[in-house]
Amino acid sequence: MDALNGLLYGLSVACGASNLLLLLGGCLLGTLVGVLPGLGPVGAISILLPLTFQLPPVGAVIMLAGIYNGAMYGGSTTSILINVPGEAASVVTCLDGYRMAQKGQAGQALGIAVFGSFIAGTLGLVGLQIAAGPLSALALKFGPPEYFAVILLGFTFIVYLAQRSMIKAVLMALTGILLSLVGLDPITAEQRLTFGALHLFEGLNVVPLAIGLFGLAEVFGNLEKTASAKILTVNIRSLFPGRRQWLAAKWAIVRGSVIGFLMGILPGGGPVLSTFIAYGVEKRVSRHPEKFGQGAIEGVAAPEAANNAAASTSFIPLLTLGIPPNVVLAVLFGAFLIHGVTPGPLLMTQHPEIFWGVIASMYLGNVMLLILNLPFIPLWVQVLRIPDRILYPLIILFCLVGAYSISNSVFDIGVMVLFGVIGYFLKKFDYEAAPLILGFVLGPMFEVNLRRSLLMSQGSFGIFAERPIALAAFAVCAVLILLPIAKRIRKR
Amino acid sequence: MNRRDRASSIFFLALASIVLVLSVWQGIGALGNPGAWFMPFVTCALMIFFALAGLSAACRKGAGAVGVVEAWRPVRWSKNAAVLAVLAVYVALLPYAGFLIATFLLMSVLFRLNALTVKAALLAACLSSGLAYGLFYLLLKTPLPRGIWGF
Repeated sequence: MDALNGLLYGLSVACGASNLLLLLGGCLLGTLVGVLPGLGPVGAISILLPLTFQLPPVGAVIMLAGIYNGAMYGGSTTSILINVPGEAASVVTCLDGYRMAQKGQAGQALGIAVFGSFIAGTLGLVGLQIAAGPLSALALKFGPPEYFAVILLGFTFIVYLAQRSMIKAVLMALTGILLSLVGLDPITAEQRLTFGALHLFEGLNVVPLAIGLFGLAEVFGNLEKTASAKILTVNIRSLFPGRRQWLAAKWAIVRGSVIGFLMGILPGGGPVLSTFIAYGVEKRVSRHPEKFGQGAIEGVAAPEAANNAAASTSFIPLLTLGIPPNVVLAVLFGAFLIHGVTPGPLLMTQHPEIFWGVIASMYLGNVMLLILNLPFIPLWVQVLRIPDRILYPLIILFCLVGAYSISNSVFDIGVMVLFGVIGYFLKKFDYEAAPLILGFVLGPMFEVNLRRSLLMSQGSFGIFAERPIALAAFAVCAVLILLPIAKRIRKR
Repeated sequence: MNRRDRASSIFFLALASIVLVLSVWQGIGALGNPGAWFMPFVTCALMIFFALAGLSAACRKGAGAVGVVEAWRPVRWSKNAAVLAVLAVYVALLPYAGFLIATFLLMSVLFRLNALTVKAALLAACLSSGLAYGLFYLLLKTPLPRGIWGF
């Protein structure tokens, strides 16, 4: 099935009445959770996952894609109105978005964020649609050595692009791999790190881990604060940017889309990093860099475009190789597995309704969010006015039910609470939780492919040099590892 | 790097060392036929290497401005401790009291801890636990824990 026919088929799946309703519900719920400060797409997907359990796989996956898209859109609202990012990818939007709101241009800032997100998200989807087929075909030629090398490359990128210390990122990724090893060995069925506990035989589940690290830990972090964020009293006169603002923002949207497109595919890159790069590039190419941070509309348009383009293209490695490139997609990967869908090169042929249905639903979701977000902005502002003392207990309740309903186990609630505490301490000690989740999700694939490669080669690491794809991946890894070392030596 | 980094590096070093010894004890197999404990062994060996690198960097740069205690100074950590204690009691109580009662009690305490009056806390707890029960148990058919009273 070529890309155009695939998309038409996907549209026929996604346009079914029930799937459209699920998509709409997903977009609205995702935006609602995305709007809440601190709870980004990871929290949104983890907490809302139980709502999809009774649905057929296609409907569930479509709803999850809607939640993801909605959360990405919703994050910018809090950045602009209260200077608190709804999720990590909206941090940069605070810089100019909040300043625009202070100047009485909150409507235009929210408007350009929505339009920029729509344009970039759609461009990203076109890329996803075109690249998915050839990449899936290539991935079918992968054996264990290629998979191992590509996953190792992913880990290297995650560490290389870490926002804080690289050593800490490596330690987090390794801790994630170690946690993924708890349970029965996938090859020999021997018990590992279970300490005889029956609940640990099947290993830990990614969802309680993610809810704990990204949901409960966030609540703990907010509960201890002695002051709460103040919502700016804004008079939103018009959500449509003026002609001059459009002219100023149009190239920022294009550049942001291109950066987001490329960063989305990179493992470890994703929406968060793309926003920082897009903002930096925009400031560098601007004739008035001094206006950045003072309410420049390009400073809102570029990062918002980048984060939504990256959100679309980050599906490319997930759907074609079965490798989630960032933490949100790692949780989504776990959610797909819960619904009996294994992302990877065979998804396109074995479940074309899901593969093309997801892509088509993301196109439709972008249109829905564009139409709904503008009139709904006053409602999201009201959501932000819910007092913390009511909001946080409710988020805790959703976290508890979300963790329990994965396997109807009270043990999972305990795991979630434990990882909530761990996530809180990780923040205190300046560790990022994202590499841990990625290590946890990629760990089993990493182990199985390494052991199978060694079995195939009877213990020789030469097998990785004999395969061109594996060799190329190792070469890139070596460059990424050597680059910072060379930089440090040159500094001395 | 600061004192917090030193403490965290020592934690990772200790954790990895314990699992590494356990892996060797259980048997890691050979390179041509890696055993079940091969991957824990490799992972922990790498963790030890990077924890040592982190520790050496932390020691080289000195104590720094931010210590372990300073990270907790400007915050109301006691509220978190109370919430954690309530959650631990909830996990223990849930299988016996059932979802509805345990969640009502949990939400009452959480709302009260968040400075709601007793009356408002009870009302909010009643509404939130009832709505959660209705949404997940009655509508979405999630088999929530029933407890000894059957609900």
